[in-house]
Amino acid sequence: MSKTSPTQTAARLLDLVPYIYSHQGISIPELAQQFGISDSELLANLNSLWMCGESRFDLVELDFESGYVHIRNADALNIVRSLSTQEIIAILFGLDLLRDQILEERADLSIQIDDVRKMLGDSLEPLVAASQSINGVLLQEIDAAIKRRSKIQITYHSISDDIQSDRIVHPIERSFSKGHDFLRGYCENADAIRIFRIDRILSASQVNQSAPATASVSSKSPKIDIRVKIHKNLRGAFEILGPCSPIGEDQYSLSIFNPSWVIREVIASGGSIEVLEPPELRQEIARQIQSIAKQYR
Amino acid sequence: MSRKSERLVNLTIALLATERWITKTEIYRTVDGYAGELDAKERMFERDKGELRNLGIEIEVGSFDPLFEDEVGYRIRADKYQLHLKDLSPTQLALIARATQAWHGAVLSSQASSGLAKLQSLGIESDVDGIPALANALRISDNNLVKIIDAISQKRTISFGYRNLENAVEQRALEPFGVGTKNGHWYLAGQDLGKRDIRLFRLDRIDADVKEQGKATSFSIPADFSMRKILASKVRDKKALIAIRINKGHKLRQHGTVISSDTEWDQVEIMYSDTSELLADVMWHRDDAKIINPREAIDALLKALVEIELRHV
Repeated sequence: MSKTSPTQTAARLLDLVPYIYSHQGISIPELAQQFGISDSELLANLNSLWMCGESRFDLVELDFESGYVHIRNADALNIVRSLSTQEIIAILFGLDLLRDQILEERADLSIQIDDVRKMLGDSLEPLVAASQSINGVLLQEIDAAIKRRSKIQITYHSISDDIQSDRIVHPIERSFSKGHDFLRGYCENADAIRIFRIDRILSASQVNQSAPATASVSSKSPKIDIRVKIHKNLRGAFEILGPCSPIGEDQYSLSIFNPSWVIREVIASGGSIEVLEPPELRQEIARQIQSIAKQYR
Repeated sequence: MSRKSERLVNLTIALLATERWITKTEIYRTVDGYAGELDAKERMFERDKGELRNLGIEIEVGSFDPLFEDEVGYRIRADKYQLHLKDLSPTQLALIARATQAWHGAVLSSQASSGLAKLQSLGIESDVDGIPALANALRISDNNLVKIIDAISQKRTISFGYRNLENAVEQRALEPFGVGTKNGHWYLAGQDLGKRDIRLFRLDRIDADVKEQGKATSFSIPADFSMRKILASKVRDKKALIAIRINKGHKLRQHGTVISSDTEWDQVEIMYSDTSELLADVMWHRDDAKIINPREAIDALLKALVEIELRHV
């Protein structure tokens, strides 16, 4: 977290005044939470505000020793400051996400969101846009199941095998890593803890009864070290393959867990990526290419 | 705690509380925090004015007597300082409160909190009943986003290093118009001064820090600019017929319609925008998908297969 500059602190002091006026008697923790700061930082801010006023003989009167904050004699500052561009844009982005998540039957809320977007910043509104990377309704279902500690049935698309399967999962937690949201939970079908990429969960619904376990899920493949040569579109190759270590001219080494996925990506790259090692992987790619070509003969 | 922040607050109080213009001499005498020689006070005051203006506080400069301009005065007009959103309804305030949750732990988190705190200071009761909690989040820690928003706000040109297709860093100069996020990636759009056209950039491909260039208000954003339109998916106006093995090709089927089936294959009509993207999608599915038409897509695919085979024999 970067250190707050004196100017940022001054901005917060100015904004604290009308907030406390409209919430006289608010507790220190609640006030700190509203401003997204720690209790100790808030206390430092209040001590600072206490030293401000129209003159050194006419200071802001603040009372917070009891743990509850009251303010007097700061009428000149009891004005809500206009929103900054950063604040408006932050709110507009959030409203965009919220609108995507609102169900069709709550069209009234969507209309209110459009109205408030215009009210906040008619000129800024066209300059920002956010769309969900993940279906918001599905996320709500997952979050609710985590909270209820109840199991859900998910339809999951296993990308590397191109298989869709229905699974019964006892969700444990959501996490975010390397640009993706994940769900960790106990999978009844695999009889093990599994991690699912949420953007590959096609649907999620509540389950009231325990469903019988069906096909087992293959366990994770062991790590394989490979060497590749990237002939063109280096940026695209890096974005697909992830971290690679350079080992020579256009040559890189990397570790993979799923050879099937690498084969698919190498073929889809149309010749941009060449696997140099291991030889078995090269042979498998050549074999699959022949199998594809055979379909067109 | 910094004395500077207190001085800035005191200066704001003094300039807000006055109906008339107040001079620098009066400010140095009455506002706590201005100390030292006159030169030092002057420098301090000039910096403070700039800092308050950076916070969006408008400081007016005027004269007591239009005939004698030697003694200028300063003031902040309350109606310009003040937020004018009295018509905000309790439901709308609750929607904003939900919306700001999206930034939890992300780069605009403090701006979202302070914006909400201001709105909650208006004395409007928030009505959150029936409003769903926001399940999705805006996950970005890249501080370049804040710099870009400031540059858009100030209409200031920016420059940055950008990774091209071959991953080499190219210097770009841009008049930034808008920012947005789609499918988990963040984008910046604006007039590329080198390419003389509106271009889209992915923030994670920007190398190092974005730098501001030149003066504020150095360009204007076209009236018809829409980040939403720029980020909209490409129009799928071409049609291909693809045979996809039954129960396979789930991703490929998302933009298609099954028009006939036999025991092993579905014939799927797929709308696409770009032949190279169609090829990559079909080839990714290996021998589970086969292009039936158009002919030029088949020819391009066969050419790519030869290239991959030559590299792997």
